[in-house]
Amino acid sequence: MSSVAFPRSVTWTGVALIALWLASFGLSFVDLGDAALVVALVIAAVKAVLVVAFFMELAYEPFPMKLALLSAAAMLAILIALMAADLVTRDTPPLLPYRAPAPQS
Amino acid sequence: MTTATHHEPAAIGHEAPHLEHFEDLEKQAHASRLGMWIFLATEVLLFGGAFALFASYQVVFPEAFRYSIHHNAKLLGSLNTGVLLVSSIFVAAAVHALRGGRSKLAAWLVTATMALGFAFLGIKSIEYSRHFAEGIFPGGVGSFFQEHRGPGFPEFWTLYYGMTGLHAIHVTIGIGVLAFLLAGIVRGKLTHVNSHRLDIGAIYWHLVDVIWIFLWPLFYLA
Repeated sequence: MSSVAFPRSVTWTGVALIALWLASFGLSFVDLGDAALVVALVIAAVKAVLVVAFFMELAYEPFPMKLALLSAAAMLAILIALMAADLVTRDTPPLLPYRAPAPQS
Repeated sequence: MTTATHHEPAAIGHEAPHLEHFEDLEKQAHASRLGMWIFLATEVLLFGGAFALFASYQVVFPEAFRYSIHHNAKLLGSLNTGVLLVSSIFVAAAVHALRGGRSKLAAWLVTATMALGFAFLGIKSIEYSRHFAEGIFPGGVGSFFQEHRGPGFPEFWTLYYGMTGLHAIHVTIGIGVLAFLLAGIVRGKLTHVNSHRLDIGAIYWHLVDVIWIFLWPLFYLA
C-alpha cells in the first residue's frame, strides 16, 4: 500500500476544482444577466468549501477547531447584514451618481 | 540521505518527538493547527471587510463596476486562478507524500508549489504593468480616469489594486513559509514524524488560494 501516496479525497477534490474553474470561466462568456454574479459566487463558494474541507482537512477536525472559522464567518455575516441594512434603508445614497455640470459658455 | 533517516526519530534532532510542555506529538500538532486556524479566522475578517466594502460600492455604482470588470484582464486573471488551484493540489499532495515518508517527492511537490507561486506573481505583475500603461493607477490617478469621469471608477480600481495587492503580499509570505519548510525537508529535519509542520504551511497556502477563488469572479468575471 506504500505506493498509494494520495487519498482519493485529495485526487477528487483536485479534479473537481479544475472542472469548476473551467465551468466558471466558460460561463463567464454566456450572457446570464444579473444571475452571472450569483452563479460565479456560488461556484466560488463550492470551490472554497472543497478546499477548506479536504485540502485544509477541516472536515476531519474536531468541532472546537471548526469553531474558529465558524465564528469568523458569523462575525462576517453580521458585518455584511448590517451594512446591507444600511445601504437599503438610506433615503438618499450618500454617494450620488455623478451629474456633469451644465456646460458654461 | 541514508535509508534509516526516515524511521529514526533520533535523526530528527531536538524537534522530535515533541516539545516538553506537550504530552505527546499529537497534542502538539493539534495545538499548532488550532493556532493556525485562529490566525486564519482573523485573515477572513481582514479580507471580509474589504469584500464588504467592494460589495457596497458595487451596489452604489453598478455601471462603473460592470464596465471596469469587462475592462479588466480576464484571461490573465483566469490563468492565475488555474495556477493557484494547481499549486494547492501540489501542496496537498506534498503533505500526504511527507506523511507517507516520501520526503523526496514531498520536496519536489513543495518546490513546484513555490514555482507556481512565483508564476502567479509574474502574471500579476504583467497585469499591473498593462493597467499602468492604460493610465490606471490607485486613487483614481491616470489618463483612464480622464476618459471615464463618473464616480465608481476610482473606487473600483483602487479596490482592485488594494485587494489584489494585499493578496499578492500573502502569496509572497506563503512562498517564504514554504521555502523555510522545504529547507527542513531537504535537511532531513522535517519528516513523516513531525509532518504536522508542513500541514501548517499548507493550510496557510490553501487560505491564500481560497481568497483568490473569491477575488477572481468579483474583479474579472461577473
